Amino acid sequence: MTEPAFFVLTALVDEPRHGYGIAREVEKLSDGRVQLKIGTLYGVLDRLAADELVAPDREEVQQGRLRRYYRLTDSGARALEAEAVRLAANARSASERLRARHAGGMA
Amino acid sequence: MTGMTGMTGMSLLEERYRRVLRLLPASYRTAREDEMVSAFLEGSEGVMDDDNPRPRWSEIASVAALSVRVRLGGIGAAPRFYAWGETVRLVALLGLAFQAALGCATLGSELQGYGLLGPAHPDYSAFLGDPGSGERLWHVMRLASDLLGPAAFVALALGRVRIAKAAALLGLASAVYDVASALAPLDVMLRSMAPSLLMLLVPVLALLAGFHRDAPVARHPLWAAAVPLVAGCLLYGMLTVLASMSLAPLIDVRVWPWIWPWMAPAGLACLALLLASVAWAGRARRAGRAGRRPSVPLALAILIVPVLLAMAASLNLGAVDPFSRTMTVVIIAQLAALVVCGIALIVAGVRALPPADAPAAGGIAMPDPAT
Repeated sequence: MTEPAFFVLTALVDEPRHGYGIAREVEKLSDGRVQLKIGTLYGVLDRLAADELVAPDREEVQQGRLRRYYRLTDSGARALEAEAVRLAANARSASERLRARHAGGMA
Repeated sequence: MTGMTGMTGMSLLEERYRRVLRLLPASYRTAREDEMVSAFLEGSEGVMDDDNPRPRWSEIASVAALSVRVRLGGIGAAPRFYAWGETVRLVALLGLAFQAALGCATLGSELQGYGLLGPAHPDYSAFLGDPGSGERLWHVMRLASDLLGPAAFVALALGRVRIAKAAALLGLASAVYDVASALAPLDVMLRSMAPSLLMLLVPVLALLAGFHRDAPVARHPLWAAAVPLVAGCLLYGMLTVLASMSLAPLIDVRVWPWIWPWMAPAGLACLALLLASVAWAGRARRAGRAGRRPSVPLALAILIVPVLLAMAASLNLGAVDPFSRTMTVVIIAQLAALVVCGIALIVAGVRALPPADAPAAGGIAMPDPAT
């Protein structure tokens, strides 16, 4: 799973969001590091929708502008959870190795 | 707030962003344009027409990249876009297979020249440089660059797309350097070498565009990855035999002009494409209409274009001696055969394309409010 896809799925965990809402939430989640351009965002959404990890939720029109909301599907939640577990295990392994390195006085 | 402009009621930024979105296919815009414009404008609040706003280059680049990914569809794409995606990916695979075979044959002839496959050629020994010298190192690097084509193909066939792209780009850079550093007037250089470069450029561009992150990556067995390399070794052997025969003190000048046009890279590509077209026609006839894939004929038709240009550039219509005139006749016959094949392939490929309005397998569709 790519980093943008991971953050898009994470942004949809608590509630359905529309395009700009997802982009803003991804920026917040990544401390400003991942700033999705609109073309990139919709490319990621296309792929996630094709894999049935996200699905359209509803449409709203606000100030004459169309907002289409997306929600996380059950299989999306499972895929995100599996990826989060994998990343956590990687981070744990790295932390353990670094602790051992510091304890051995190699730093 | 964004300012409003003109009769359309749209802000200048919106007008310009919608213009950028025209890069996307019409069917995609129908489904997504308003939503994308809305998302873009929400992130551009406070921009006024007076500021003469334009979408940033990074935004334009993201839409252009999306356009390529949609048009050369991968997993979940609409069938027609997927067919075009498969076509371009096949152009990359077949084109790089040919370059891999050519790279092996070139490497063989250079190794032979350097004396690593038999006695060294006297012409090579003169400029090879002393062992350990910079000149010798340069020639070793030149030899290594012949391996970039085979490396790119093998990596692609084994599903290692990033390695394939890196090797293909390095190989292209090396070929461009060869053309640029040729000590020839620009018009002669463009006429003689640039068309051959096009035969490499087309599959490399297809590799970069077609194998995007949504593209399915096929992993072929090792033996399939080795086929062009073995073909390249056989080609080297065949060309060596033909070259030694043609350089004999007494040669039949009635025979060789008919053979030489097939021995150049463009002639070999022409032969490969004609054989592939005939093989495809036989297979398509057995498979029937329902079993025909549009990607094969369309990919072969695309690959024909740079070969046509390369061969057309080598035409010598002003030839006066019978030898050169015979070669010109052969090249014209090759061109004619390629044009006929190309037209037949395009017609068959376009006919086999899925309809433009066929829906995507995993596209975005709004839920039915009643359910």
